[in-house]
This record gives sequence, C-alpha cells and structure tokens, in this order.
Amino acid sequence: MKKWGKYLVAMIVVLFVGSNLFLLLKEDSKAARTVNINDWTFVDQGDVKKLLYTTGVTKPETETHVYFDDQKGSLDKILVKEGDVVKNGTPLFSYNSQRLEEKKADLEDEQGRLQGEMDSIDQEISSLQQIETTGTPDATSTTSDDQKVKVDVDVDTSAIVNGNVQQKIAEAEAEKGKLNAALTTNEAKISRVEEQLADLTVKSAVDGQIVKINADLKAPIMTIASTASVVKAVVSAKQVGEIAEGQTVKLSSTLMKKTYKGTVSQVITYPNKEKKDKKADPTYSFLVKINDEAAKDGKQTEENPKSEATTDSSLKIQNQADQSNDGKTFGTSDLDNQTTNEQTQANQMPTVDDNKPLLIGTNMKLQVTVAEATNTPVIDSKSILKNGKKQYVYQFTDKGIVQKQAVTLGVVFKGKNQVLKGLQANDVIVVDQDAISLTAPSNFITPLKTTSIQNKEFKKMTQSQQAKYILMGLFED
Amino acid sequence: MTLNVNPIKGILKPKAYRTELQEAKDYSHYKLNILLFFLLSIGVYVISATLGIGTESLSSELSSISNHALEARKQLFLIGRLLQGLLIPCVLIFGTALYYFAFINGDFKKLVIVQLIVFSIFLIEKIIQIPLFLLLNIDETSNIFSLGIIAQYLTHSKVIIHFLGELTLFRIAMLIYSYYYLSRIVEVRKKVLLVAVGILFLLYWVFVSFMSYIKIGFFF
Repeated sequence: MKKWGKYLVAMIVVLFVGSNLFLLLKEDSKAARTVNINDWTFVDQGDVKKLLYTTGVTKPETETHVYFDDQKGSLDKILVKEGDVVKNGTPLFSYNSQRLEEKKADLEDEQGRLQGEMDSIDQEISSLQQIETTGTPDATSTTSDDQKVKVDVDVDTSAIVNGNVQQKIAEAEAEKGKLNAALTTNEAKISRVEEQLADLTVKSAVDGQIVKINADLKAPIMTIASTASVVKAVVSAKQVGEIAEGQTVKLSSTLMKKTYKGTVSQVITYPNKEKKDKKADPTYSFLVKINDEAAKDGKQTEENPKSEATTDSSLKIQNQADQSNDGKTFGTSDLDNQTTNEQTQANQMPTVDDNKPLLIGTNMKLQVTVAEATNTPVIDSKSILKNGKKQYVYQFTDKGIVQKQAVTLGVVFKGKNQVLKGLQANDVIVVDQDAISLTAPSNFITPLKTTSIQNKEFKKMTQSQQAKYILMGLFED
Repeated sequence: MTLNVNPIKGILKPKAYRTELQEAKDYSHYKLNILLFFLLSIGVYVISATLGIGTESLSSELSSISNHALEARKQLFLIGRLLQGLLIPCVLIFGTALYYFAFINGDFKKLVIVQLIVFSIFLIEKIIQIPLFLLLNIDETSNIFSLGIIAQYLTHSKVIIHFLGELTLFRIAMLIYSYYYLSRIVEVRKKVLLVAVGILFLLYWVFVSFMSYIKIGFFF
C-alpha cells in the first residue's frame, strides 16, 4: 500500500470515529446509552429526625421577688438566710410592730371612752323611763357628763312632764344610735390594725430556695428561686425559627453522666443581649422543661454530632452560652465549682449519684428534635440530583431502565432525607448521583460485586433458570 | 524457511509477513500462539463480563431479587461468557480455516496462521471496547467504531440498528486482511476468493447481529 493510501485510510477512520463521537455525545443524542452503575441501593423505610444541638444551663423555673413595703413599717428582722430552702408559708422577714401597737392602743382608748358614754346614756334612759312610769313629781335633774346630753326634768303638770320625758328619751335614744355606730367603726379599725399586726411577718408564697437577700432594703428585698428547674438554652438566629413549643429534647450533662428528657416550654424570640460585634447575628434562647430521666441507651453516642459543620456551630453556641452565663445575677461559676466538687465526690460513690437532683447552673448538652418523620422512605443526600428547585433521583425500573425520578422531600437531616413523594421503600436508586450522567432513560449494566460463589442462590434456582443465564452469557452479545 | 508465527507483525507489516508466510515450510511458536490466543480470549471475555458488559438483560431483574440472587445470576452469566471466550476462537480460528480448507483449498496450517491475524484484530477490538463502553456509557449498538450511531439517527428499526451496530471498522479490517492474505495463500481466482470470504463474513454478520438482537430470556 502506498503512503498516501495509508494516510487516506487513517483520515477516513479518524473522521468516521470523530463524527460518531460527536453524534453520540452531542446534546439530545439519539444514540442509546448503557449506563455503567457501580453502586445502587434499595430505598429504606425508616425514621428521619432533624436534630439541633446546642448547650444550655439549668436555672430555676421561676424566680419570685419579695418586696419591702415601708408603708407597713420599718424592718424588724429577716428570718431566713441566703441558701435556705423555703416552703409555702415559711416566714421570711417581719416589720417592726411598734407603730401599729401604738395605733392599736389609741383606738382601744377611744373604744373605752365610747363605751363609757354609751353606758351613761343607757343609765339616763333607764332613769327617764322610771320618771315616765311613776309620774311622781320628783324634781330630778340629771345631768350627764356629756354636755350634749342634758335632760332637764320639769314637773309642773304630769301631762307636760310626761311629754317632755318622752321627748328626752327619744333624744337619748338617737344619741345612743350615733354612739353605737362610732363604736362599730372603732371596732373595725381595731381589728384591721390587729390584722396588720398579724401580717407583719411576710411569708413565702412559693416553694424554693432563697438565692438573694438585699439587707439594705433595695427592691426586691429577697429573691426565691423555685425548686423546679428549667434549662435555658441558646440558639442562633438562623435556628430559632425551627424551635417550637412542645418539641422533645434530650438533655445530657457531662458532669452527671445522665440523660434527661424534656420538652421545649417556651421560645423567647427577643434577642439575648446586644452584641459588641454588630456584625454577629443575635442569639435567642428557649426554655426546656425537664420531664424525666431518660433511660441510658447505646444510641446516644450515635446521635452525637459528626459532621464538622454542626460541630462548629455548636461550638459557637457554646461560647455564646458561656457569655450569657457570665451575665447571670447569681454566681453561676460558684455553683459550677460546687457542682464539680460534688461530682468528684460522687465519682467516688457512683451509686449515690443516681438520685441526686439536678443542680441549678449545671451545663447541659441539648439535642432538640425539631422535626421528625417516622416510617417513611429515607434516601441519602448523595443520591439526590438538584436541578433548580426540583430534586431527582436515578431510579431503576423493573424493565432494566435507569431514569430520572422527581422526588419531593420532607424532613432533611445530616444526609438523610424523608421522601414524601416519588419513591417508595424498596425502590432501587443509584447511590451517588455524581457517579453517572444520564440524558435520557437508559439501559444499565452492573459489575459483578462478589468473588465468593453464591452456592445457596444457585440451589434456589431451577436448572432451566441456571441454563438460561449461562446461555445468556454464551450467546447474547 | 521457518516462519516465526507472530500475528501482531502480521497486522503491522502485512506485506513482509505475507511473503514470509507464502514461502514458509516450517513454523515456530505455532501452538504457543494458538494457546496464547485462547487464553487471552477467555481472559478478555471474563474481564468484560465481570465488569458487567453485556448484562443489560440481568438488570431488569435487579429490582425484584436480592443482591445475592443477582450476584448468582451474574456468576452464571460469567460462566456463559467464559464458554463464549472459548467458543469464539474455536470458530474464528479453526472453524474458519476449515471452511477455507474445504471450499478453496490451501494449507490448513497457513490458513490457521492467517486466522490468528484476523482473530487478533477481533480481540483488539474486544479489549478496546471494555474501557470504551464503560467510560462512554455505551453498548454494541452505540459503538463509535460501528455504523450503529448513524443508524440510530436514520431509523428506529431495532433490527437495522443491531445489524449496522455490528458492522465495525475492525470487522471490515478483518475482512480486508483475510482477503489480502488468502489471495496469496490459496490458488483460486480472485472473484471466487472474494465470494467465499464475503459469504463467510455475511454469515458471521447475520449471526452476530441476530444474537445481539434477540434476548435469550425470550425462550424461557
């Protein structure tokens, strides 16, 4: 063959292969493809929990402030000290009673005076009645101590005398009524003062612990922290929207080595405090009510944050939580130390530890279940192909075709996706969407995965089935 | 004259090799080459089956059976492919040589040596196909060395597509080399030789295309 002939053949070959490649690879190619797929998986039926990790600090559920009322008198003495555990009704402090006692004495004097007047009027009335009944011209002049009550008895004629006497009696009766009223008022005043005297001792209205006493009478004079505790946790602005009341929370304390269950009781959508760095996003807090102690389970460690992103964010939150702790009114750090000390003691006696109540100020790790889907098809994020707003997976059909299947996703957390629509459990999909490129539904082939001979499976097949697959290998091209 | 049997030289330097073959009375490495090509053939077919090439028919069962059951089917398929790797050189080397020997005479050993060259072209194609198919995600019908892609642009007929898909540059080269070598080995008129070679290749083509088109599962 001459040289130019060789070149001609080579050129024709290159041109032919080139144009074939072009026709194959161009968009909307009509050429059928057979996709080589290494990894595929059956869609699992399972649960997806969207968890949010953060840290928090236990604090009293409520803080009751007790105020000093200087209208009631001066402070007599404080009956409790900081740290005391009080119950509903425990006396806290008392007012000085001197002023009220004086007032009570005054009122009692008044009472005595009024009573005396009352008695004399009664006497008068009875004597007047005597005059009226006997009618004896007995010139009697009765003058009571009181200037107002002056009964002059003039006995000229019995008729006139009788009329006058009756008038005087009526007058005396009226006076008696007035006195009676004044007496009742005074009695009421006395009882009120007595009440106030009894009320001079201020009692606690709640169960809890005295956490602060202002002996200098600054308001509030006392702060009582309730025995029931909640956990105040911090979340970033990005995450606060996901937290809602009623969500379940798993709490664990590194010190106590115990896990607790709780629910979100309140979300505080007001930012925690002004940030020095204005660029930093504000943080928000939420309260978790601890319901009971959760049983220790092995899954605990499994659910710990693994991905770096999550760890980073939780670290950030940790710092913020620490900052907000510093701002607390009562000595968190002191309490922390206390906890540490007690913990070290507890470590020596681990059996005692179990029933110890959760101390205020304990740092807690929180795992909030912000969304949950159970018994649902679950797929891995790797399998999902995003095209604009739509999401697809590569699904195998029972006709040996691999095709794009649109899916609607629900709860998404750490690579696990709940499938709402588009797939069912036990559907087969491609594990990694990056591994293949698919322009249209295509045939697919899969490599042999095992080297071990599947004797069990061979036995399950009939001989004709076995022959079928051998013949496929032998004759199909 | 002793000919050192070397099919690769036969491909690369056909003129010199043909002259040598024509004048050769004795052959070295004859049996070794045959054995080597059988082993190579089996190896290529097993590797290609292990990588899944040709297992499209099994894919339709994937979603309904367990992974282990699928593996078992692929292993049976592999056995079939191994047998194919044994069968193909038998047919291409000895069967074809026998065909020429029967119809157009010639020395059988020389015919086998010619067929070794033709078979090595066939095997080169098979070897190239493995990475090509896997990387381009194609199968026989969309083989870039064949007319299959062009056929798919021209027609929807599966039969035609499969027929043209099996018509590759390598197969044409096999035909050309067969004719080129045989024209000196056998002493028949060129037209007769052309017809004999043409008929054989047509038979192969029809058979291979048919095999590519049909699905064995259809018979079960």
